[in-house]
Amino acid sequence: MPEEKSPQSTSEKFTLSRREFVATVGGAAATSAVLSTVDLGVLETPVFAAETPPVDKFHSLITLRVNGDTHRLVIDNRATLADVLRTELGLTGTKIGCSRGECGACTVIMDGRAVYSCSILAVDAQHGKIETIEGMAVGGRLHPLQQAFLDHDAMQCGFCIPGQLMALKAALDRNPNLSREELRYAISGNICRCGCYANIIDAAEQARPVMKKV
Amino acid sequence: MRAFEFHPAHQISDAIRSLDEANGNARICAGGTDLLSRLKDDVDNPERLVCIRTLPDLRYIRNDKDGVRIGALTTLSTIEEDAYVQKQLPLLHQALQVTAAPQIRNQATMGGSICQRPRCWYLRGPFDCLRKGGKECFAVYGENKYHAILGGHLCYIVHPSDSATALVALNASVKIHGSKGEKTVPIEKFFVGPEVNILKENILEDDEIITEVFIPHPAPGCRGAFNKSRERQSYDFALASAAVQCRMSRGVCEDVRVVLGGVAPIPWRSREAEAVVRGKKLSAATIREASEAALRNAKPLTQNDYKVDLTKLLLTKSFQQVSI
Amino acid sequence: MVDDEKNQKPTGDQEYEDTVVNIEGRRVTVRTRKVPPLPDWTETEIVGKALPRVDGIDKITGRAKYTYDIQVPYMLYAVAVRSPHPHARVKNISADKALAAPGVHGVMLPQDVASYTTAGLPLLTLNPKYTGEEIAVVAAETELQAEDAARLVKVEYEELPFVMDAELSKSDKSPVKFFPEGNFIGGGFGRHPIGKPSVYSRGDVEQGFKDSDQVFEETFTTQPQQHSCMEVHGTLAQWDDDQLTVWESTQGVYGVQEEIARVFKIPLSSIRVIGTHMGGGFGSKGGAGKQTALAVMMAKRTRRPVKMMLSRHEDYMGVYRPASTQYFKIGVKNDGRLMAIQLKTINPVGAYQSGANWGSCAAMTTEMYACPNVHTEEYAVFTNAPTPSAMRGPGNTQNAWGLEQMMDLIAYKLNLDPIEVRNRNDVKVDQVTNEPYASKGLAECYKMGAEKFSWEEKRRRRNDPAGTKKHGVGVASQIWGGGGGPPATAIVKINQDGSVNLLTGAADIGTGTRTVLSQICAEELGVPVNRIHVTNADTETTPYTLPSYGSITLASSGPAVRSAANDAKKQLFDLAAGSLGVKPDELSSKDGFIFVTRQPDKRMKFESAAAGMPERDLVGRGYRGPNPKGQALNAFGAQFCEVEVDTQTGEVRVLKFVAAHDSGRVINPHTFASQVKGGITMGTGYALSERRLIDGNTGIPVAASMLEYRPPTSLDAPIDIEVYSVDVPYKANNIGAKGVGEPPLIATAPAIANAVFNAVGVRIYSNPITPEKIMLALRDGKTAKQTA
Repeated sequence: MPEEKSPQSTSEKFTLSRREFVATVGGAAATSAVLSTVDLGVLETPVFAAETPPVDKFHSLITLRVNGDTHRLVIDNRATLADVLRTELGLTGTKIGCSRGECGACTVIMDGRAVYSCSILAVDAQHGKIETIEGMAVGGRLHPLQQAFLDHDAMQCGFCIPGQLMALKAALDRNPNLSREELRYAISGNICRCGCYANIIDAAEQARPVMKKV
Repeated sequence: MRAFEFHPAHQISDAIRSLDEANGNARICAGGTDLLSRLKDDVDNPERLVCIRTLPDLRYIRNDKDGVRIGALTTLSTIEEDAYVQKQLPLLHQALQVTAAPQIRNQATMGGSICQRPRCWYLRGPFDCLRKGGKECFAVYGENKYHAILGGHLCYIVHPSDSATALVALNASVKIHGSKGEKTVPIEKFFVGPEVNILKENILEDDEIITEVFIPHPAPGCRGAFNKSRERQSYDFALASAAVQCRMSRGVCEDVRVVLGGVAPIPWRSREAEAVVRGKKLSAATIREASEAALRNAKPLTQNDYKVDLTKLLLTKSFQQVSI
Repeated sequence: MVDDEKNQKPTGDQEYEDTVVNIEGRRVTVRTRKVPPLPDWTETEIVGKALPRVDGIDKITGRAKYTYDIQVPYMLYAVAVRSPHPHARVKNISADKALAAPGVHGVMLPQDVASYTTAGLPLLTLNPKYTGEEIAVVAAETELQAEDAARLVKVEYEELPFVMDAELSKSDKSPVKFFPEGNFIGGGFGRHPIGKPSVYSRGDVEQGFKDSDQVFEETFTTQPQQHSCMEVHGTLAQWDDDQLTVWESTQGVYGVQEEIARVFKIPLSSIRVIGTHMGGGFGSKGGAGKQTALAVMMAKRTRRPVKMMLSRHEDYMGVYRPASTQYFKIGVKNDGRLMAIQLKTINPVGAYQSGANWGSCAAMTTEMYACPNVHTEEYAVFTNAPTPSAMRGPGNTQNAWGLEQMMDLIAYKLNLDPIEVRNRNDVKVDQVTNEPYASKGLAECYKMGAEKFSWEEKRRRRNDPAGTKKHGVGVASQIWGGGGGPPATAIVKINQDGSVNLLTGAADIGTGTRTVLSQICAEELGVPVNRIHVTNADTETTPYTLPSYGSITLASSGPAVRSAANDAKKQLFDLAAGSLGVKPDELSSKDGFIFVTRQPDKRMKFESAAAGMPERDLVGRGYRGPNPKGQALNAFGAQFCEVEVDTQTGEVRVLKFVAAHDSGRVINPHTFASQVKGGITMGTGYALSERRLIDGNTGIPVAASMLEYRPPTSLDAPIDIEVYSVDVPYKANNIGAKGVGEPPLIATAPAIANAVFNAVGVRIYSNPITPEKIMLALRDGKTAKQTA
């Protein structure tokens, strides 16, 4: 790798230059557990297309606790947690792949457990502490799992990846000693149509000891 | 999904009152996983959801002198991880391990699991079928690979719940609260086949909720096994399953409960198989005889006669596992 | 899309020539400019390295915005009203109630869009020919309001007879007549008369069968396969006066732009299509969908941006890989040489003629193995089902299921190693065009794969006769296009600080296009890859390229990127030469330095040279040149797998895969391996669990969900997968690479089927190999045993 400092990255969002990043991640040591820094920046302001509806019998005023922030908003009773995260809070890292709790793209962590946010009504999610993919890189540092996903190319189109990361984080937070087969089990509710399962499991194995230490 | 009122209940009596008021137009929302799918698929259109997640004190696994009591809102993963369940009720533990997907087990509740509606694609699709008050069962001459081979009567759904199959084998009972008070029903009596009610799979009335599942302590010498076959290794309903709970004494089967899943509109207790093995050593011949007996009355549809052999096999496996 | 008319435009013969591009098995002749050749890369610094994806951080932090994630102010959501019947006539339709519903801004009915079609399909119809066909569209402020209003559109139908079974439809007993000439057409691209199959013939098959020692006849069937992209199909359309911006989850922004221009007769300059991040395509997002046109129209009508994402359920009522029935007859000599192949295929292709493009699967049989006498006959049959589309390795993936099992069956009957039979039928020339392969590393794939897999040792292993878990091994091969070709253009802009913008129209559909093109650009410029910022798949800012289909992307856009980088580099060398006191052609660049080739310590920083640019930046242009004349460009591969079959329950576990592929030069081993593992995962689903199903009695889809369709989970797909590249040099383009997007899927399912046969001695002729098929085959197999 070249030694001189690279020019200003074209993406302002990185505080770490891509060069350092490549040096850390892409070098011979693919199992590197050094964490890259990344500034996630300010979340985009959500767009409210519709006027705020009144609180009638089909709507509710709710309070949601997401990634440490508290949000109060009026929603249609039918809105799922995934809908509200994405449409109202602009947290579009949480995807919806089937809207029936059958694919895992919408996985978030609620009170420490991985759940399908498309299969929980937002009005019914008020009691919980919710973590989404946007809250995973704390203080601008990639989570060890995120780092490991990069190192192992555990992504293709990337659409299922936030859900895979959430499922693994919840599982490893509860038990950092999961075996390879148990890790496989932990993501068995998350479809990856591009077929990254092997790389995802490899990545999780890399992250496991780092998560144990942290 | 059509618009509905959302009523969070803070006491059991609130929930019951709210259900009662709605005259059958309310549904209970606990974990909500199955309910939301049905609402989104527009095959159920209640005017009101009564949320019981907000009820206090229905999340527990308690051991007392008679048995283990599981609060209706306890999630499947909590039960799966419970030390007593793992040690004393391996049958239930095994059933939960192969139920749905991790996220579903984190969300789905004990009560909801046994009340989930069948997966029949005609029931869940835009078909005016008998179970929705229509005039015909589309499965009989249709795509019936996953349908019932036992206990079908005009309607050929299979009961989808692995935990229900396990609980019937464990002789569990269900505590129900309703407008008329509280009652406890043996779980076997909780489920009803289409010959009794073609619209529902159980006796729960519109104004009733399940509050607890009770499982008696297995007697000393009891062993249990649960085997399930499916087309994917995760997130798939049973093609067939077989639960055996057996009290063994000096190699002889003193008492036994045999329940089959995925093959009938209710968790299918096979008294025929039980009668064969009761009082006998579980020899290969006895097991074979019992498995044959369990499926003797099977009436496969056009595409599911494989389930007969498959169920025999799973039952044989479960018998073998408890006989070791 | 490339069309004939464009290719016939006169151009100067000096600069341009005709060349052949193979796209999804279809050979297209295009006129393209000649491009000065570049020397082969000998040693590379960046190309060939397993670098992390350049968009990796965006994807793992949730920051990557897919079409589905884009929200713009005042956006409406559009939802379709769909036919509940497989064949009907709309007698009456009323939108009054829907229009009056809360939040509703517009309803479009068939009469509003009658003059428009896309891909040969009506946008909305009064005569639905399959369940789920679009009748009307409603747009409202929220998705829920749109769904509510869609239910209020009252449609009265007269139900008509329908036909779901291809054999019935093809017969004269069909209750539906799709065309007066008949209910089938020749499958595949090109113009075929209705009522006639498409036929390919060489040699004399009858004579070939006479000359054979043994003749085998078998019938194979494949189920329809659904792409099941994690991001469903969808569009967001926004008009600003006459300027249209479309965000589309697509494999090709230019194809979408061209289709919109064609449908609505507006200039290309007025249409901007953006598809930067997209959640999987697999062939289903090759161009504009109906929802594209509907969103664009609705946005025009309502004067609001309109987003129309399909639901998963709708996705499962949409495009798919068609089913096939393959009637094989193969004659062989006892030494394994193929003497004659006869193949008839039946391919149900839905209710519209355009579906017939994909109603063909015999191509692999005509070219995979040496055989002098081949006759294929293909029927694309109309039924009351949705229209299929391309899907990853279209045709060959279906055909491999039959052909590769036939080869296995022949090997067992002749008591030969399945690899030996394949090697004995190796051929260096494309037997359809008589052109030699530019490179063919298939023999190397067999050799390397067999060695890494311990093929011979594993084949010798015997199962415990008393055990119920039987292990088996299987192999299958593949051939695919993947040579790519023009048109593809790239622009490389060097900025005054030495940073670089790479502009390419190519979509990154998860394959790693952005990453590998950045690597190619960085390699050619001699700068670290982090200097490159790639912008892709945006018709307003990036140059033209064909969609990312047919495994053409890398081999099409890659060479264009290298040429563009080379063009930019030469311009910078012109400037640097003065400072270094040498001629430009005496310079090289590497590691961020420009240096005198013979005197490497005489050097300057890349950015120092850039700082001296009088215009403050410079722009390099690169084009994909023609393919070499008279050569066949194909990718090859062989896959080996080990399975465990439970003889009691019929359950199959795929334990291990070894894949050896000939894809020329590997630009990034990470993304290369990911493609192959992904293909194997998808192929495992095709082999074992996936089933798209329409109820034959009602014509209504019944397995229209992720749960019922059953794509493989992490517990179903193998996670022990070894991927190898045989690295056979390939000189047909300036980067030495072939495509690898589709090839890894083609061989997977038959390799599994062959391993199942090896394990339990029964052959499963129809996919998916579900437990009950094995149980029944084992039960009945005791009398009708398929083993040799």
